[in-house]
Amino acid sequence: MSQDSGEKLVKLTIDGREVQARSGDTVLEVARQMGIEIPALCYHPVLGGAGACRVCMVEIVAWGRRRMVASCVYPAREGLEVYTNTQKVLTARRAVISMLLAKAPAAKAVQELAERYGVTEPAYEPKDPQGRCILCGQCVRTCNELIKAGAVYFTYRGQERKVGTPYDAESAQCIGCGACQNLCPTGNIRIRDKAECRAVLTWNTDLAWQMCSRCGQRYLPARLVEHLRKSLPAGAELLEVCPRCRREGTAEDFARASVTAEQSSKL
Amino acid sequence: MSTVATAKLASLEELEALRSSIRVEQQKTQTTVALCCGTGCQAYGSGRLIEVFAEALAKEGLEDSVRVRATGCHGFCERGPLVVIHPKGTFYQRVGPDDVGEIVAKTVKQGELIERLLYVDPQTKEKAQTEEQVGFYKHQHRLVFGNNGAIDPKSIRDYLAVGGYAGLAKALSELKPDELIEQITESGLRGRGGGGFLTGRKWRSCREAEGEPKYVLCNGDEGDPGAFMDRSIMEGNPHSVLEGMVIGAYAIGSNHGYIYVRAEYPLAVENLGIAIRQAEELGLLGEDILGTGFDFEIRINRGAGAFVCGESTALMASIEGKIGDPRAKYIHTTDVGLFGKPSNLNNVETWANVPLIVNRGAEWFSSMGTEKSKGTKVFSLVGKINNTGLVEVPMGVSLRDIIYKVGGGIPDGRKFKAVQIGGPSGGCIPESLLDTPVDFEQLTELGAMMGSGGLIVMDEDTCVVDIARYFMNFLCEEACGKCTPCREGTKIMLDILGRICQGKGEAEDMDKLEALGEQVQLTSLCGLGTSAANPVLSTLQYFREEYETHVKDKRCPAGVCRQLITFSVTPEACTSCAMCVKACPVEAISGGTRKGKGKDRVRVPALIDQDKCIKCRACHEACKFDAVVIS
Amino acid sequence: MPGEKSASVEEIDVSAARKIAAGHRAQGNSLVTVLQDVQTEYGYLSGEVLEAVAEEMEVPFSQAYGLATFYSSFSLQPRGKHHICVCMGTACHVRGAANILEKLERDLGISSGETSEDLKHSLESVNCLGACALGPVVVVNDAYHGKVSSRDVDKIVADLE
Repeated sequence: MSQDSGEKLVKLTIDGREVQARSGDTVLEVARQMGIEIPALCYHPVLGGAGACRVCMVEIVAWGRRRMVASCVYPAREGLEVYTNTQKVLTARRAVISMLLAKAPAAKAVQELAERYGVTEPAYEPKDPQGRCILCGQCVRTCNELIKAGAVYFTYRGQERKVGTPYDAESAQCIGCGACQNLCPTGNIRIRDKAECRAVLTWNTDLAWQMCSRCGQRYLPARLVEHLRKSLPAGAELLEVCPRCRREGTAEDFARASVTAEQSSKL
Repeated sequence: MSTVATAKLASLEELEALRSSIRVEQQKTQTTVALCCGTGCQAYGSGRLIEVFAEALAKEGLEDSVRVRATGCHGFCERGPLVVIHPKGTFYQRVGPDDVGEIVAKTVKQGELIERLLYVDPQTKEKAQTEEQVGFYKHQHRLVFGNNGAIDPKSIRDYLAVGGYAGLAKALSELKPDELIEQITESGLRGRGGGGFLTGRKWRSCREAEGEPKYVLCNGDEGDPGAFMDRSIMEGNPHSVLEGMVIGAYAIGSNHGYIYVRAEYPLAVENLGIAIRQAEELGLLGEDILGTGFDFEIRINRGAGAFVCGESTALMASIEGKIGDPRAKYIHTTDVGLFGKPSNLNNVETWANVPLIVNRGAEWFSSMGTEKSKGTKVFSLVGKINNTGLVEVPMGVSLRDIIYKVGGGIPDGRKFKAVQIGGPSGGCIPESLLDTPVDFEQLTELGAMMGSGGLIVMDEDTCVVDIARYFMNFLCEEACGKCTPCREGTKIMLDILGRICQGKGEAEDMDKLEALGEQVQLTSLCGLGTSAANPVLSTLQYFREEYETHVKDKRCPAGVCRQLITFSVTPEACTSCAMCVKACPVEAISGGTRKGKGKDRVRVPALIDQDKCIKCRACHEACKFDAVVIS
Repeated sequence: MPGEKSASVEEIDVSAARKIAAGHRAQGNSLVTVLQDVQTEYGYLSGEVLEAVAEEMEVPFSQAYGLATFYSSFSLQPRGKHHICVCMGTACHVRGAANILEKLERDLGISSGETSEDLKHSLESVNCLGACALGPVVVVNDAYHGKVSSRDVDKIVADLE
């Protein structure tokens, strides 16, 4: 068996419908392209799946064996049969959702899933009625793999596992980019923009603003500007000004340029 | 022992020449005192014995003609410290420093036996003079463990003297990688770490996988509580593991190896480290092995206290310096493993079997065992059993034979209740199924599994609900926390089991456990989760009544679950010795004294204040007259 | 048990940690290996030390902290002069290890996983030490005690000075 290149095409069936897919795609992605809805919380198109939340379980038949797999990480393969809606799948999905409902009762995405699948009771009395984190790890992957800031990570293990900064203290690595908030499926990450700083409340971190060198207004956390400067050295000077001034500045430059052009053509 | 400066061996002939010279030299020593220095015997003071022996021999002027050999574990930990005196093979047990002078004067010098140090069979009352005569050893078939008592694990010369690295020499000189894989496949060797996957097939997948470099890994993260066979192999015969790995690497086409050893096994790390250095010095490891042009290096990585790292993908994550989160194995690690490269992981015992198979052939190996489970298996036989220790038996032997013939049965006249096999992924097997042969399929069918081979024997004083709770607590502590069903499900099951043990169980709890257990099995990410419910499900299957007694009658028949038992003193049996009074940590016991003088002197029996009693069992243990009873 | 960031008032000299990390990094060894050796050097892993190691290994501090809290052999708090480890493996369990641990907790006045305030004792339970034949097993500063009874605990505690 060779490592999937993603280029090869394979034929498989999902809920009885035949489909052609790239072998590098996951069953979840193929199903979604076909309009078959499989719930998934730890999957994001940019990051892929983590196989962690387990609500995307489906039944497959491969090499003559029928079993349950997590569709967000299971690769499309030639001849694969996938069943996304069997009684077994629904029972398993409900069991997992009821556990998530106990872990994160305040998470809207979990509440919606519970409603859709008719789960009325959490699997146990929730310890934190305000809990929103399901430990899917999307913030960790975003911060480490996409942004490469490395501010948050998993801490402890098992029951004690959390996501957070070391000692839950203010992070020197968080750049306040807010990407984790964008990708979090359960709305667990809270960020508040105040006059003096951007407060990333979930990570206990306050970030001072960068002031626009032109208009003097705050526009981005200074650390984020610094991070961008390092990763985009070419346009570094553009980062000195806020987006509005940048637009205005470009417009002015443009106007100035056209005036100059007009003048030179008159000569 | 003389340490002849040894240069790298440049050919197979040089290896054989060295072997002959070592044998000639070792034959000069007539007598050898082999002293077990496994962890068990060391805890009983065998380390001190080495010094005492050396002194005693020096005093007699025998230091040059008698060799004291500190060996690895002989397996019979129950009777340590163990001493075997060769060439006769005289076997002494429970040897203390005070016995040494006499051993040297009588046995070493004159070949006389010292009766009191011999092992007496508890049933037949016969005395055994050699290991072979001891019931514990007689019914075993020791292959992987065969050399543990014969070599000093810190000496590659000892390993060479017993034929070490001959398998490697044979593999490199006579067999092409494909033929080697064929031989291992034909032998029927299956992974000894628990999964039971066919070793040869795994090797082939890895050999045929695309990608470079390839890695060959050894799983020495023996995490199952109650299992210590891998520890004893790594500590007692580290070269056998290395030799197996080099052979495997040659077959697979790998130049880089890792051994992942538990943090709790410092002696294994030390001995493996020494073995690697020695093998490198002799050119049996490293570049251009035995002048054949084949290169293979091995590094040791220490675990850091995480049971889940025994799982292959978590183990690889840990070697990469990450937290031990497993990942889905829908793409096998033989294709995408360590550092994203094709990797072949086998367990310690599996690797140690490899040189034996190459030396003696696939047919020899597959002649032992059952249809689908070949060779031998090492079990650690522990718990409520007379002969605690490590036993190696051919596959297919019945559990009853292991427990009664090798293990000598249950101590103190208690009744056998169950044997737990396969650790936290395994299950409890009742008396009625003891004739089951040990075999991968048979055990799985019973709801247990081979696992790494821990056999924990339980008697009537063990509560199976408590055992189920124990394993669930273990798994809860050791779960990585990545996937929902394992993280949350094990906790829910633990809470229910805890409730039952406290007498707060409800009638539907058993059904709840079964339903939840099934979902955790179906939906968890890795083997830890998918097998986490086994200890609960198997005890529910075979011991449901005991659960019901806890739930309905609020009673623990084994007298273990604290909230369900009381301690009291039988006045008639109490001698008022006050041992219990002294033992009680919370001053809950009054009486236990004598009052008055002369004729009027009366005994006041001990009395336990139930409100103060914390049920710590201290009084029960302290009482020599069985007057403190549990009800 | 996430403690305070700095476990002691004194400044901790992190140069040894940096040296260990640099050495391992040159050999391509992993962060787990580095933290093991650093813990051997310092007795535990303080925030300052973790931060220094992370910097030297060029990994985020958060990852080093994640590792230090994931693996149970790492300690974020200083251990006692006498470190007592009680095996909770199955073989020890069926022979009453839980009672032994409880007695030690009572006698030492600390819970499992804690260090006494005077830094004299620390107590820890381990999920199997692989010395099952000796159960219940208690390890005091690397010395194994086998078949421990409540009475043996008295002796073990008395010998701790």
